[in-house]
Amino acid sequence: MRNVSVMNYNYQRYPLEYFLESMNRLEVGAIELWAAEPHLYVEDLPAARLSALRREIVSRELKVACFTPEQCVYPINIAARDERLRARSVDYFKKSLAVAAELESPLLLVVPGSGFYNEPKEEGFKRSAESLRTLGEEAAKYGIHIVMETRTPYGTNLVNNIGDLRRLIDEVDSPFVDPMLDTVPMNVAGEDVRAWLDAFGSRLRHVHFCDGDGKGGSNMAVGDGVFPMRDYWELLNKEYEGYLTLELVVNRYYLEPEKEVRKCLERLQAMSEPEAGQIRQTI
Amino acid sequence: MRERVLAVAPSNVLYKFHSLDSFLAEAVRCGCGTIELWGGAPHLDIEAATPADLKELRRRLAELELRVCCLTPETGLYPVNIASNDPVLRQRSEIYAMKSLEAAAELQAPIMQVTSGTGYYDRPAEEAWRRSADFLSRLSHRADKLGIRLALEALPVHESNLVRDAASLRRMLDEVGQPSLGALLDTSTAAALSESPDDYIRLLGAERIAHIQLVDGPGGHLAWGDGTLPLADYLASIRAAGYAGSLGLELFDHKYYVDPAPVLRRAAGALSEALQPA
Repeated sequence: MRNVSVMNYNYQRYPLEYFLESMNRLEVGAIELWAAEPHLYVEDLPAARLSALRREIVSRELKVACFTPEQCVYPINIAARDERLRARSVDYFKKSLAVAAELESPLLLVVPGSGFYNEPKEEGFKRSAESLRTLGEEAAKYGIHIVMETRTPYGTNLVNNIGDLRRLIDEVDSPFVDPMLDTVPMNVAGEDVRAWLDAFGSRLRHVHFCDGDGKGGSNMAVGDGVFPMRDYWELLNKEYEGYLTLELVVNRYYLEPEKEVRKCLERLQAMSEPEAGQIRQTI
Repeated sequence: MRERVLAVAPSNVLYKFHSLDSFLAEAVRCGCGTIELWGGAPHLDIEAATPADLKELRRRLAELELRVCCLTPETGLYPVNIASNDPVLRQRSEIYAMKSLEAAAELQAPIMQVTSGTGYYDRPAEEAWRRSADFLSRLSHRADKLGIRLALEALPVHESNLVRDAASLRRMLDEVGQPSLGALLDTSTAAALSESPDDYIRLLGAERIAHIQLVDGPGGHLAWGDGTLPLADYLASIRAAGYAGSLGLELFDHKYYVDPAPVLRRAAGALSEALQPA
């Protein structure tokens, strides 16, 4: 499955080397690198450490499909009303671009941040777009594309659905700031893969391919939730050319991370085989 | 004999998508004179906070006649880990914890929450345990000088392989052996391991419990009634054991964040009512 990449998020109780070794064991060639402690935090990454990290990755013949610095739970918010927090957040992503370039990642994931829920949405939206314009200019220097996903209404009040993302992309108006799909907020918004492909076409540069509980919970292993993953899989394989990342966020996946990822890969394998209909019943 | 009334102390973590001012105003409207202060952005990002920020916050709290019973710096979600084997991360984590302690002193909080951090799960826990214990003893020493008590909280099993139940909590307190290091009981985290306040009281003794977060659960940090824990029984045990601290309302759930005021009112109301003498 050459178009599947795996994120190190649910390996966070294990060393990064363990994750990289695990990718080799699972014969996964592409990774989405979630950049956070204890694996790598861009604020704690002197040049010597970064080059050592690069060697850890290239020596195992792994390719970084997307660089994703932690920004949902860290004190980072490009739409923050507090100017100091917003400026620090923009700097964080500028540093992240430099790291992504060193690791030869073609993509940097940036979420649009959030306004206060008790202020007009428009104000936060304007701050987000302004930050993204600055970051788009910086990304252009490296030739890296910033990809933005929607989030559920429990994570931001700014970009929850296709319409919001379309408006933000248009407002930022940079060839280096593009949409990406995360199937969990998609489902929460009542949207499907068809609608996303129709809305963004070839501009859709990245996908988080995750199952979900259908109740707004976090990203799950393929086959553990209630989403029609097989339909998503078939459609995306037909009409989309980028990577599909397995992003396992629910914390029960932390304890035995390799087992969880292997399970996903086997299920995807089963979906790719002609007799998959029967196999599907047994998983 | 009249029982002492335990203070109901809402935490601002519930308002993480709203301004701190809106939280403080709602706490006052709910009749709470005490809060548990969560140290996290955008309210109080301790790593970024300047002395002027802290002074201004202290002034706002005084103006509203709000007392901070416990400062709870964000550690679970932030890039800090006092038990890390990485010297860069560990040093930043230690600076963060020490700075948090100074912030607690500035805000006149008598208690600060701490956690053990974690080691890697594929390695023996002993070394990480020792790094954690070493730093906790240094932190306790400094806390003692500032007149602050530390409240060590057990972490869920997916967050730490060190202090994660009442037994390992007791072991850490015994090993550090400083009176300024006490325990924090989070009823929901405890219940996830089938532990109750009675277990904590029996293993640790009520006098070593520095702070209690009385929240519904298990598997969440819920307002009274949104989970299935026997909170009235818990409360009776806590009072019978002579606990005289505050009851922190550390509520967080994605669904609460959008409109937190009704949740806060409901939770503070239920607990205040339960505390009324019969």
